Amino acid sequence: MKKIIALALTICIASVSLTACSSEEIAKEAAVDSYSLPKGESYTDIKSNEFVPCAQSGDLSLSFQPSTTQLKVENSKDGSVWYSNPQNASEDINAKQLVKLRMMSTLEIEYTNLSTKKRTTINNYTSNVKSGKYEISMIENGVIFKYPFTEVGKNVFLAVYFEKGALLTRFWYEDFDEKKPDVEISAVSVLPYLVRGFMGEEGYLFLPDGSGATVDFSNIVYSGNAYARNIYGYEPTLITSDYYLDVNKNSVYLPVYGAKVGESAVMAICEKGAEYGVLTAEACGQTSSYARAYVSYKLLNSIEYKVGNTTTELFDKVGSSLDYITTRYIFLDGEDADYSGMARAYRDYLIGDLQLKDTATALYTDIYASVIKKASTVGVPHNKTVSLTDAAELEGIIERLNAEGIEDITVRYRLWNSDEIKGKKIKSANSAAGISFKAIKNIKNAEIYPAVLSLHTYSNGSYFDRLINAAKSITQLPFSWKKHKLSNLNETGEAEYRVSIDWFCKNSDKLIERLKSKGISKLALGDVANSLYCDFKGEGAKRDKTRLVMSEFIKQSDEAFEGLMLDAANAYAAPFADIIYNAPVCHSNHDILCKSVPFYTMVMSGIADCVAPAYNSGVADNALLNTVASGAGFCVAWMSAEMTELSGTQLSGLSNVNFAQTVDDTVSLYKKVDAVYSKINGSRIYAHNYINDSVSLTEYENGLQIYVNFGKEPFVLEDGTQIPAESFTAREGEGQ
Amino acid sequence: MKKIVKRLISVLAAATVLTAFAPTASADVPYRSYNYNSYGEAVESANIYEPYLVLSGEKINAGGFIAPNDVFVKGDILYILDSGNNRIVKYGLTDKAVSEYLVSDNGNSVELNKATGIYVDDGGTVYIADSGNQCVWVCGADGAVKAQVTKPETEYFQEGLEFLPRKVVGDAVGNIYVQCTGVYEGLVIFDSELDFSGFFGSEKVQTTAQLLRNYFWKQFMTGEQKEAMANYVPSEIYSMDMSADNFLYTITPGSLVSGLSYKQSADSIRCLNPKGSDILESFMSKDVSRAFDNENRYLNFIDICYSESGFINVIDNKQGRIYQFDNNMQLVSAFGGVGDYTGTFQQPIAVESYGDDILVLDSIKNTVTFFSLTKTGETVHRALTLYNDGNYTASIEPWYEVMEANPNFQLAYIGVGNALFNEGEYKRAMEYYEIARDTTGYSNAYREYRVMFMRENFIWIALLLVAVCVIFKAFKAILNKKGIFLSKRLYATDFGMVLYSSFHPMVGFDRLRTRKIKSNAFLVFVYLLLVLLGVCEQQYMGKAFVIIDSSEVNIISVALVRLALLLLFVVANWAFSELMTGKATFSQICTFTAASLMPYIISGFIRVIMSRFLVENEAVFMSVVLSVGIICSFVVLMVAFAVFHEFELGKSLFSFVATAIGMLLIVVLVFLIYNLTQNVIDFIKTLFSELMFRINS
Repeated sequence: MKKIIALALTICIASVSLTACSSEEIAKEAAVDSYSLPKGESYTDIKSNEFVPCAQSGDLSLSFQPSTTQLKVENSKDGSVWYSNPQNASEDINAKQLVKLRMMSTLEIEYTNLSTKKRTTINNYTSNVKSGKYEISMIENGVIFKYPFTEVGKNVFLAVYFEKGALLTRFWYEDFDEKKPDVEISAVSVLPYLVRGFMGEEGYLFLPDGSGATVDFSNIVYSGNAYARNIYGYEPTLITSDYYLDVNKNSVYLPVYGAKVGESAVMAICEKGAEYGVLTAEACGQTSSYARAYVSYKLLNSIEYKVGNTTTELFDKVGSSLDYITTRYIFLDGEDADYSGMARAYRDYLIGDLQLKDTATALYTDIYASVIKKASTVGVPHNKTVSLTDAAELEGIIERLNAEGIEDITVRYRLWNSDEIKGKKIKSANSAAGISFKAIKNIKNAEIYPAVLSLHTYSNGSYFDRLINAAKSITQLPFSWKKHKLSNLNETGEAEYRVSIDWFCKNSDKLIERLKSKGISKLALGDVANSLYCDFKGEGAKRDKTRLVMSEFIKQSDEAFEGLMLDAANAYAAPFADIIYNAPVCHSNHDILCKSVPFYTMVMSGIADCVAPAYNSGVADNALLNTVASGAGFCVAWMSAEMTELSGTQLSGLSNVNFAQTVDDTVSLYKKVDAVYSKINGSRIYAHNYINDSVSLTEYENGLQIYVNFGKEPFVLEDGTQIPAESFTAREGEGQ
Repeated sequence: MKKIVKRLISVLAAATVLTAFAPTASADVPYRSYNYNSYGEAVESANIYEPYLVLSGEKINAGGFIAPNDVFVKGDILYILDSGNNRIVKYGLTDKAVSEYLVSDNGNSVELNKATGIYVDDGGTVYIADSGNQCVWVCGADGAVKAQVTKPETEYFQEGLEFLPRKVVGDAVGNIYVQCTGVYEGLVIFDSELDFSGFFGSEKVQTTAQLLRNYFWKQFMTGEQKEAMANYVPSEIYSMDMSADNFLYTITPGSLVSGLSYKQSADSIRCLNPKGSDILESFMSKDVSRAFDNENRYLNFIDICYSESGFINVIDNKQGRIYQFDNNMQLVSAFGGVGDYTGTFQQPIAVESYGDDILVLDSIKNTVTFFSLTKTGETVHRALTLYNDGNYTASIEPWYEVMEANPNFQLAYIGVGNALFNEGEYKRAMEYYEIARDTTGYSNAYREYRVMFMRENFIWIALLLVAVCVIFKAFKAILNKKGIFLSKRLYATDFGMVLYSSFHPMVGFDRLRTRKIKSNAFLVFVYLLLVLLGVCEQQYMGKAFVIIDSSEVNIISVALVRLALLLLFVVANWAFSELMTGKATFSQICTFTAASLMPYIISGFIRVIMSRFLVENEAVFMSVVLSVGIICSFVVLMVAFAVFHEFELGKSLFSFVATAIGMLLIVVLVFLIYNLTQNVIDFIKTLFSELMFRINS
């Protein structure tokens, strides 16, 4: 008996150590990330107003102004000068006095008194620089500033240095010897005015909103709210209703932003701490004459917690899992000084040493396999699975498309998994009633990717099951997103939960094995690629740990399957994908945003094939034009069943998805797109720009130019080529 | 003023100027439109409108707007009443020309003061409701004041009441209608000579329980006490719009509920004919109408616009939504919301139409957002226009397209159903009416189909009936010949005896009492029949009367409710009969209660069967059958009281009423206990949550 127990223990220990989600491995990854800065020489002449050079890297040189700790970067290649702060802030007629003081600072800190729950925002200019309470140390390739913030009882450090041709900033803090126990830093913004432009200046801010968006410096907005979005989506544990998400959909997939001013540009990449970042942007006129973009890092989460009739506020510090924050600034000039250049630079950064691949085009389809419907037999309520497209029908669809001359077809086969359609945690690879995987495997002439899209989200299960297996919020109770009624926004009884990270780790490997045992060679994944959440159960997992766990799972899936499809992948997941579905092709339409730019697809071009959201899935009427302008694949959602089958189901919001009714129109649309896409020949997107307000040009490395006219009037190019209204045209050109 | 100048300078100093059109075409739609399905549930629907343009003062080089209050479109000119800047800006919707409309009186500039309403008639005369100056300015196209309409000198206008015009609108004959704050008699009308000519369109005071209660107490109050009480006055019309054919569309804030909020409903929207009568009748189905009223009760309808294409657009500034109705008050779509995105609002204050486009003014964002019809929207409008004009056949094709785009659009199914009905395709029409849950339509189609079916199959039906009768008679004769008398055998058992007493109560109950007969099997049998009847009434009633979502039928809840009712009756009757010296025991009460239910159960089943063959107009037959069943059950029960409790008729009746009261009392008691239990459970849950949190933190 003892031997058996010992053997069992050994196996357990071995299996725990072998699981991909072991905390040692994650800790190891975190340790590799560490970089300790050398100690520097103290710089004492802090009253000097002259900029003191402190580092050089290629064409870039870094200086600082000792009296203000402001920074200056000069690019000798194009003569551009980038100041960390506006040099004429005091004369800004559109800024209030308080804002003018903020414009002088390089660090903004919000701190919270945990006892009184009061939040206060301070900055290093008013707290330290004005009174001379700071220290400067020169290090190799840069400078370190130390600001003792007495209000929070912490020494705050900002290191600025060159590394591999780019400027890096690193922020961290240490407690005073006599620390203030009730005060914590809740948010910090580093160099909030570096990425900026002046009212009326030529240029724009670039924001990674959706596909990408510009905020022109000539777009003056005096009213309205600033843009603010969490990178990688909102933190679910802080929100109780999904209504908030309806009008603030997750749309920052890439932690990068920038500005083009005149003929130069700067791009900022959030290297460490992106999961906690809130990308914020203001248009000219909103608080000052400057438009600016920066990231504010939330270091302290809070949530209102009701116990009986009392409401209290609970806090959670992310600091222990985030020891420092790093941002990389890349300065671009010449032809690269625009969002296209930023896309190319960011793509190179993302893939590191990996090779880019050729692009591919196909007709992409979202096929719905089945849906759950409520039914009642002699008054006994029960759920029944209604087949929407079984294997035979899917084969019929593909044959029909082949008959229309469409050979390259990729299918994402959705809602086939029995657990998923019932809203349960996905543990098995069992298919729904009526769906035969054997038959699906035999389908030729199409690439079929069975989809499991809701791996970490579920809605079914008992209270005790959730108590044990669901992720917990700060309150230590399973958190949930309550669904709301469309009409009066009241909460309905339905809610969504997230699986605990422990449960995910224990079951994800088994799921991969089970899927493979079903003969599935290509897989489509959903929420694991595009959303993060905290889990306060047990040891707890903050967003950075969740990111590592999800990335590891995606990496495993990439290794286990021949093809991997991800849904609207965030930056950390995208490099593992072969195909990215639901790639954003336009921006979110925030009030301050101007034009949509296909930054996302430009970055991914050569990494993974991007596919636009299905054009018949309730998107805007000009979805097709956005698709072509962004170079994304054409996608359509279909099913074989009649539309009336969807009534009263989770899919009742779909429109025009019956194959028989829509195939003719869709095929003719696809052929129109394919006439243009067939000329791409595997080439990657090189650049994009707007010729005027309604005509865009997308250029490929092989010289192909695709013009898209969003306007209601035809447009004539210089060479006489006419682009019809609300249409597109391709033109051959010289390669890059 | 300085602020405006500063902003103007900084705008002019900008090196480049954006064209007025900031195309939002290449961007996502940030809201989910919805409509109501046949069951009155708000479900997502395909977007009918999407935003395509946002105008701000900066974008059109007019300097920023400050708290604009109204917009009006005449021809191709958009008038923006920029109240915060006390000015009117004109913007050409085709030529993009911008100018300021300056009001002047004999060459002297007139400064507007809190102007909140603007209207332009066909002749180009501009009317501005200016409450700060307590007048309505009547100006020419060049801004020169032609007249100034001030407070009418008339006894009909309350003395001491200020003339504070908020909104103004005119009709085709030159009358103007002015909405004034504090005037409850309706809109103030001025004729074409600008003379006061009366009031128009006053709302009726809603009769509420509170009003009736106050009226009752007023009968006993002194004059002073009456003065101190609140007066019930009609709601003010809040905004209005005039159609080309002189119908005035108005919105009111709804009726006051509990002093805290107004109950908004579809009734808050009225269409007044020239006589002032509301002719707007809602054809929304009962379920949809009820759902709309319940779910939108705390909204705030703030403006209304009747578009040239015949649709009514209403804006709510609490949820930032636009509701579009057709001429029959069918909800076409609800879209928009509160937010920082194009197509959502912070404080929508006015709605206007320009062709098929809708314009919404936001007084916090200081912008005008333009919405255009999507392709789906165009199809819906086309289908609705054809349908409302009576072109049912022509509307079929667009309705099919709408159904594909939006399977939840109830009207589409009704539209197709009506078209098929007109073409004589009754069976197919019935299918679509069933999906739309239109019992009236189904009933009409079924009636025609029934006639057709009977005509074609009369002989077979007759033969079948004859055959059934013959077989039944033959079967009975054979049994009699063999000496098998089913009924005698049945009545020989306890079960049969109790069953016998359902139809022969005097004799039957007497036998039961004297022979002390009871049958648990009969009790279970009746209970199961009751439950089955309940399920059948929900799930299997004829579709001409009820079309239900069968997934909502739950046998467990039906069973529990009926069991609860039975138990309540038995327990209450037993308790009261003990007090009234009734002689029946508890088991006897159970027995005779079950027996008395048989006529009702049988009539119920007959009613369900009849409903499969009858239509709406023939419902009276079903009612008669059910009434007969209920009366028979009641008579059986009274006989049972007389036999078992030994009550006289009067006492039996009193006992029945007392039982009913007893049932209510028991319900109240149970409810109290339930509430207390719930509080205890909540307390334990809270304690548990707190403990969990303390332990883990």
